[in-house]
Amino acid sequence: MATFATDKDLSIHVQKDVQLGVDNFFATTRTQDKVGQNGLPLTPATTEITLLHPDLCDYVEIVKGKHDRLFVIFEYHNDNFGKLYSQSEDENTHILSVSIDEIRKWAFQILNALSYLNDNNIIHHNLAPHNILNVKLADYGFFYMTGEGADVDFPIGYPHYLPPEAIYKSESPYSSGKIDVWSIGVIFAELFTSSLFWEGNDKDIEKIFTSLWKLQLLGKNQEDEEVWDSSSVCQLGINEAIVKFLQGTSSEEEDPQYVEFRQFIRACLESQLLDIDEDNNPVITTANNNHDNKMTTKENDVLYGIPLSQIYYFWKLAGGDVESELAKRGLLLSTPPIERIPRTVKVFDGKEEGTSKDTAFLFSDTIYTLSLKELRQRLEVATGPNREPFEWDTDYFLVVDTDDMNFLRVSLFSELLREYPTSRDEIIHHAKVDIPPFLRGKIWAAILGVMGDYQTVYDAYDKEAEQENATDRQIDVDVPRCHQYHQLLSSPVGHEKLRRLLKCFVTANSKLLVYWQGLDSLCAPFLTLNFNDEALTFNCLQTFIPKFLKDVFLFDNSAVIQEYLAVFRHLLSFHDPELSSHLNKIGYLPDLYAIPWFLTLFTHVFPLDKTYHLWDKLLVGPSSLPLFAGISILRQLRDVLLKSEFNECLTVFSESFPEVDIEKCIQSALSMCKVTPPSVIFRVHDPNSQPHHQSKDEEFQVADHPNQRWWEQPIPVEVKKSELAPRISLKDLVKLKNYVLVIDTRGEEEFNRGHFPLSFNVNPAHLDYVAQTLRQQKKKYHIVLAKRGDSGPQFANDLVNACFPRVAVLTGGIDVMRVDAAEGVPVCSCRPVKNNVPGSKNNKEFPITISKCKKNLMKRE
Amino acid sequence: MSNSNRQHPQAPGKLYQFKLVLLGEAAVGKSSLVLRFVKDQFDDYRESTIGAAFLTQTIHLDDNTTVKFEIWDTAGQERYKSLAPMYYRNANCAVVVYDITQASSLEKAKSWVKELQRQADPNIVIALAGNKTDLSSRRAIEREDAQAYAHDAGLLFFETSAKTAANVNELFTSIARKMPLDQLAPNSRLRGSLLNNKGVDLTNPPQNNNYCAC
Repeated sequence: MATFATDKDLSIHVQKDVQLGVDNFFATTRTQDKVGQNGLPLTPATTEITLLHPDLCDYVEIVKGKHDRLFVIFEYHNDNFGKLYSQSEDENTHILSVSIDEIRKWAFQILNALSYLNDNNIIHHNLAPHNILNVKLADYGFFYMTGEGADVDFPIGYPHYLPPEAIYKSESPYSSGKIDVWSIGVIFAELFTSSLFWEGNDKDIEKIFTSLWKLQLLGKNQEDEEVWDSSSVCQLGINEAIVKFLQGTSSEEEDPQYVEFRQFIRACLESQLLDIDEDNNPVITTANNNHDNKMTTKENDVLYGIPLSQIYYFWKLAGGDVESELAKRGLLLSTPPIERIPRTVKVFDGKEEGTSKDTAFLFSDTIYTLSLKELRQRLEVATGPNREPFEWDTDYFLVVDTDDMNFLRVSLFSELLREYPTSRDEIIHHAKVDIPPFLRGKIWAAILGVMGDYQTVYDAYDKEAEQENATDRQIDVDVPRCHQYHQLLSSPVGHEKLRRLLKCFVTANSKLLVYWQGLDSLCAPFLTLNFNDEALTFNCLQTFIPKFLKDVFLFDNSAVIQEYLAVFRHLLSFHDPELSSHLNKIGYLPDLYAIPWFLTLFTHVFPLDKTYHLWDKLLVGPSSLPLFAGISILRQLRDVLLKSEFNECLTVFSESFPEVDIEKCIQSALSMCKVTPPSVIFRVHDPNSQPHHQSKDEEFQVADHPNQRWWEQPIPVEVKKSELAPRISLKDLVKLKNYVLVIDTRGEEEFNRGHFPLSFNVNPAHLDYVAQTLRQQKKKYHIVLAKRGDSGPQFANDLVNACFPRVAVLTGGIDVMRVDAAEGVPVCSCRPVKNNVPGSKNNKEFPITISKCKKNLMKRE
Repeated sequence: MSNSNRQHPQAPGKLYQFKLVLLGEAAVGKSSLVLRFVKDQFDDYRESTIGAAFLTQTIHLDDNTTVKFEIWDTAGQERYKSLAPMYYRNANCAVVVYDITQASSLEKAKSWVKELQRQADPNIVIALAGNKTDLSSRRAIEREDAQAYAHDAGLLFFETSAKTAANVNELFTSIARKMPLDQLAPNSRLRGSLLNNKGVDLTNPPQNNNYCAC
């Protein structure tokens, strides 16, 4: 099955009359920061509602505006139950009568939705006719996201539709789905009887409260008897028509359907005593999903079939901003600054002066819709018939940053993601150009190859298991420090999720990997992109680590890290010998600054927005790309570093990470990567590294490893660390052909006996004198060929210090050429041409000889 | 990138440079103490330190004496312990930090002190700092107990709060005062530890075996 087939950001469903609605309210201002564990303050709640149900309106986004105002953007439909209510001139409300049949259809959907909410421990608490949109529930997350009303300074819910227990909460917090069942009962009763539940002027909230109180007492006193049959009900201010209906004394014919419906409503309204289970209720078992399809979006509409979250994304891209949009329309009620003087002034008689925040401004239940007109116009131009079709394959380096292009990119990726995993190769192909931020989380997952039922995989792990020793505590102290400038990560929900993910990671890898500080940062990009899909986040992390950070989180990772840093130093020498030489001279080694870079692949040093950008490229690039990114960073700061001594260098990266141009960094990393032979980047712990091929040549066998030739033995990490320049394989050397200068440091005799075609033979001690001649060859690569056990690496160090670019030592020296003649380079045994260069006059070796091979045996192709 | 605040143009008199290392359990406030001392700032959400961070700060003891601290702030997680010797090698002074609200953190601090006394320079000056006095309502370690331990172990002792800045400058100043300045030649680094300009000695001598050549 396609992995993302049902994803709400991707799935195509024809929306009926769909619009973007906006709600806004103020969060309570906290006078005192609550302090969490370890003395770190808790940050105000930000919650995303992640429920998906066909009978619920999707939440699209929650945005924090100025002055703690929150904007909630959700799916909105113009058709709502509120439309059935109308106010006449005499201020009386009239309700269009609705038949039992009609109500039954709706009830099925609504109760379905409520049952789903109940399963997810969410209480609507805010039901009212205008919140039932086209028979989909809206605003159901309000009570939940405000911490059951605790985070806002105003009451939630409409008293007309709330049961007694919601108003008169008992000592223990009494919140349950039964509250919503009551509300539904009241709404249906109103629709059926065409009269409001509460009689008279419904603005008199106090009267309603009093009645609810009495009703509650009545319910308590008449345990066995039916409350609604009691005659006292008539004196509670409930409309006569409603009471008659409930008591069965109205003039309606007593047909069975009617009786059943009445019982259903009564059951709803005795929610305190009765549990409603729609399965057992005959009234609503007849499912009927025939919707009114009049409002279906037309097929020729540009927005047809586009998921709502995408529409909102495009709306924002086209310059939309909820706060300014509502402000422009004059819909934001706010107090002018002059009136916002705090009421802290105390006059001597104890009176407080100043204005308090008017609670009426804290919340408005009016839902505004965002205008999509402008967006439609833009997209019609973007996708119009006059537009040249975009050629994806040819325009690889095209800058993809215009909104129009973004729209096309999102459409393309949506289509590909719906077909994932079949389309994985194609996704990777297009992702190399650019990844649209809106779908980044899923595109990354697709690139990483997360597939199958990842939810089940995640669910199967124990995320609460206690971990060994200090791991739990370490996770607990790291989570509240991880990228806390980010709204989601700083929220209590974000903390909870990150903690669960990290614990799950430890459990899932308990045999091999452990929690290292920094793993939290590494998890952050995945979590923020897939905040609503913990299982996807986890599976991304699980596939990402073996690919890019293999063995880095081993209990003992020192060999892995040391090798990584050694290769990093080699690559720096290879691409910037001057900088490498300088840093080496002052003792500024990668161990001192680069561990957090590579352990977290830069998530610990860059803010998330930069990390996303960098990872977009890392994910589709070779596993060595992070090394090159590190070199690019050093090179961006090379002027400062070259001028600095040890202490100043350290401060460059320690105090706060310097400004780095990520785009340039990526470009330069990619171009360095392209000209770096694979053997130069080789790491034993690189998951993509090729195992050494075995040989049977006795001449070069190593005693302990009869199947390995001496140069095939892994180089100990201490040796790697002591060398400035990397090693190169013969295979790679041959590919460099005309760009390479092979410098042979063996004795003259040996050189004469056999050498690399076109190579130079110099005495390593004479570098100072021959350097100029070597430079004049203007070769891009400088490869040292030395004897086994000879000082080849030392000479390579000298070359780096003399700023020769791209210096490497040929692995296996002349021996490898003799064995691997198949690589295409026969050992040349010509008589080399001798050149003399002036040496030092005090030196007895004057003049100094350079032997050159003149035979180009490589030319045959 | 230069830490310009509080750094005066070359003051007359003698300048001494010391390498100082901070050690202690995770999240006890090592980085926060440094941030307070060097920049006089506090950040509630200070990110965890991976590997180590490096800062410098200069203090003037009197008209004639200036002390420059090269501060190595280390990662607190136990797993990073293997890196620690790299940072405390050649250190002239150390601040071992614990959190007064976390009983376990003093135990950890004691083990760091032991390690320093065994492995580091024998003349190292060690200070014990009980941080987070702003959270004294949740105190789990009595001042007297820690002080008694510090006294027995021959450590300087302070209770500090990086958040309120309480005792932070006092901590570093008294370390500076405890350094044997009169025995040293000024304007040079103590005990020749950093003479080769290398902060730490990371390079192992190349091993003499048949792997290293080609």
